[in-house]
Amino acid sequence: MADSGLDTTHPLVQSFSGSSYVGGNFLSAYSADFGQNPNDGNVDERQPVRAPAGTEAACVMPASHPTCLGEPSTNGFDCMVGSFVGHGTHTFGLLGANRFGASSDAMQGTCRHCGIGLIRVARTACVRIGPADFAVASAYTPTATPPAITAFAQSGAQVVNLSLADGLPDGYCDGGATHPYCVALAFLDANDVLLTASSGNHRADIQFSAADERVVSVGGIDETGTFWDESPGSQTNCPFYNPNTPGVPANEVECGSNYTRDLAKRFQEFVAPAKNVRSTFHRDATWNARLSCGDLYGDSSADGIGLCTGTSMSAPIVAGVMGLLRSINPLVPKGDPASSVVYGVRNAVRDTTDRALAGMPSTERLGYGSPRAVDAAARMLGKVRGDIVENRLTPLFTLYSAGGLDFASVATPQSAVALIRYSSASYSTATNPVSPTTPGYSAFPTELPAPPVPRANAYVLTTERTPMNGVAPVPLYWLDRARPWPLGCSLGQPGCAFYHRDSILVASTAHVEAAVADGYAFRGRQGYIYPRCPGDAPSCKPAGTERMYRLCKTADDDCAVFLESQFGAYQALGYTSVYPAGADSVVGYAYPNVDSDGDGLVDGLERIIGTNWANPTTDKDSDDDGVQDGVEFPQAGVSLSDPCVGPNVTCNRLQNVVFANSFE
Amino acid sequence: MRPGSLARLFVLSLMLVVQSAQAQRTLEHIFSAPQVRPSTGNQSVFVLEMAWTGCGGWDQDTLAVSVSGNVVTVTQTITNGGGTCIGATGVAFPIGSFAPGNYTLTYQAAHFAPGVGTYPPLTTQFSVGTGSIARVPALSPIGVVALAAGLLVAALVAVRSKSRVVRHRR
Repeated sequence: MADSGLDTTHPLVQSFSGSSYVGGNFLSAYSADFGQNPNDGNVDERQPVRAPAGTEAACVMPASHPTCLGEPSTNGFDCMVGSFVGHGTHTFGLLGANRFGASSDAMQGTCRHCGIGLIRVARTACVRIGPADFAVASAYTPTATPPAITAFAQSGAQVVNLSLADGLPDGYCDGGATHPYCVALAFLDANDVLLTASSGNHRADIQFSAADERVVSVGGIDETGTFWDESPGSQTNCPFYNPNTPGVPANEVECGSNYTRDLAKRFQEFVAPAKNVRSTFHRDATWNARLSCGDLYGDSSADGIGLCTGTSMSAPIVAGVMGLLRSINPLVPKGDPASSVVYGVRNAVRDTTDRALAGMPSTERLGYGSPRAVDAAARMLGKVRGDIVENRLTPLFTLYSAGGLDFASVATPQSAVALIRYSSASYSTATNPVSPTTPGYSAFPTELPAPPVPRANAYVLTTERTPMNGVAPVPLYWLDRARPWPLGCSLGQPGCAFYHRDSILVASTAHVEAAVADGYAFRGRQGYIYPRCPGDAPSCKPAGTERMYRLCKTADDDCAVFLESQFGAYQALGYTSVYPAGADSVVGYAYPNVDSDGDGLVDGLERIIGTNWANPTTDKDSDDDGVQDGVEFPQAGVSLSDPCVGPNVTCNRLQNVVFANSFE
Repeated sequence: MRPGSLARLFVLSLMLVVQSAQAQRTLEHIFSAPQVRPSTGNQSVFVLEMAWTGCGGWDQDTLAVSVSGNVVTVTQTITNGGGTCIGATGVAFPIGSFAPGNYTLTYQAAHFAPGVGTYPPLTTQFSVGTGSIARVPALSPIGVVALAAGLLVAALVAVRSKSRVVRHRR
């Protein structure tokens, strides 16, 4: 997300506390400061910054103040520290805060395990907050937004959220406009990156960038589920209403959600809560007192959780739902709600909103309605024999960089494209040992010329739910470390892999912490695998899986992850040592890339959903309805029919008789 | 002239009219009521204080101050977006120090996306007494070049706009 900044030490968002992995979703590896200091990865809105000469006295702390000391950029200079901050921390929490439970400090975003980067597109500024009062706040830097969203796409993001708007006219980017904003939106579109944006808060036309059809526009509803409007039919209850100037547009500021006032203009796609929305905040900070937006609103305690109002809050809620769906099946394209030619993520959300499920049509204010995450997730998971499946498989794409001396394995097309196209150590799927192509998924979504075809040796689970076979999976974490190899070598020096990088996957928090201590950057989850059991006992090693190894080639400072069927080939290449020292070389169990019946679904996926997989003559169509399993339950699409409902069902999955009458 | 060329000329003329119309669109300004006064943090430095809607934003790095005689011009890149409103009512940008005298200051904002429209210039006058003497903000060589380039571009744009209108009238 691109926003005003983030309290990176907030307990509900931080992924590390000191050296301990604590499970939050903030990923510093994907974060940067584009609004204040591009050379600085610090996205905290409360970081001290140098106060320009002549800054109003009320905004300045003297150089001798402890807050100003110790900061390389400010040491010896007067500094400013933001007090009116928290917009980005609030929106972040709505997407990905993850402390669960009933306690007062619990709070959960819509995507429980989405790794989230934040690029700061604001700067610390001295602003007037009263007739003679000045204070330090985060002010938006518009020129930072296009490069920010481009950077996200280049680093492999699947969903980007913008809880902000820019004053660009409707259709500004139509017809190949060349402004960086338009180029950035086209770039995200080409790379199949979803962009969600707030529609705006002034009861006006939907604002840019939500006004662009490639962007998911998100308007607001209040606590009752009604369209958010502070003063229906008048301006008198608008928060910025000035009785001396009735009727002017300025009175409309922050008075309610924008919407489709003119059917020729951008359509409202979805709505989500916008009024008095509870989420994370900098402790004791206020973003906007006039809108009752800050830590102290809601429960008046400085506990790091408070209320805020606006469609800035709506957009990340929907972004989290989109992220959740893309984690369930990373191969599904983003789609287009105005068309079902390509049924993608936006279509799945469209068809599972509150209004869609009630059979109600879309409206200018509410769009297709308010997303229902549970139903959208169920749609993305698919049904087999009447049951929503608990889990799916997705390819773990295998890549290699000859210049960077690195085998990498990633579970999303966007991450694969980022490594292939936008990484200094350019990668390819043409690896040695060779991995097979991926059934049912033939091309990465990106700009032409076409990149190498997707290849994968292993398939991993996509949810934390226990699949039909009854073994609970564990997360697979991705980390990487970039450093010239051999250490200390310089660019252009013979034998120097200057852009060397080592990508690794680990399956325990202890190994995450060990790798981070060794200088690896944490990049979040890449699916799930089964944990290893002592002696690979058949009672807990699921049928059809293989051991997944992590072994390293010390001479290349590189570790690789592969299945046991390629063990000999990697050993021959020199991948023989374990990492971290003393670790088990076996990470866990995953499924091989084998489609025995040739129906477009790998055997492992058919095993966990219950369709037939072994015989190419008899198993392609498990319900004998004339449509192959891989069409009814596509690897890279949303399942719109049940592969185990037909004239002659031979699936391995038992019919769910307990819930057959929909009674739960 | 071939029919295709005629069609292209028509389309080109239409585009020029559209561009010309866009260039003349007046945008809703995020700032108003400019005034210049000494900074409360450093009396030798003056600040340009303006009322702010609290919405939209600006790029601090693009703020440029030039002085020619008693005319002060401040330019800056901004946006009038509205999704990021904060609880502020004004800004105070430090603009440097001035020799005693009477000045006219013009604040000219440019939208960060060219071609969207123009913001009306904001003008104010201020006086600097002898007690406030510091130094005249001399333009650096880079500043001189930038100012000259800016004036040249502005002149070219003006000439081109004029020629577009003439061409259209044919």
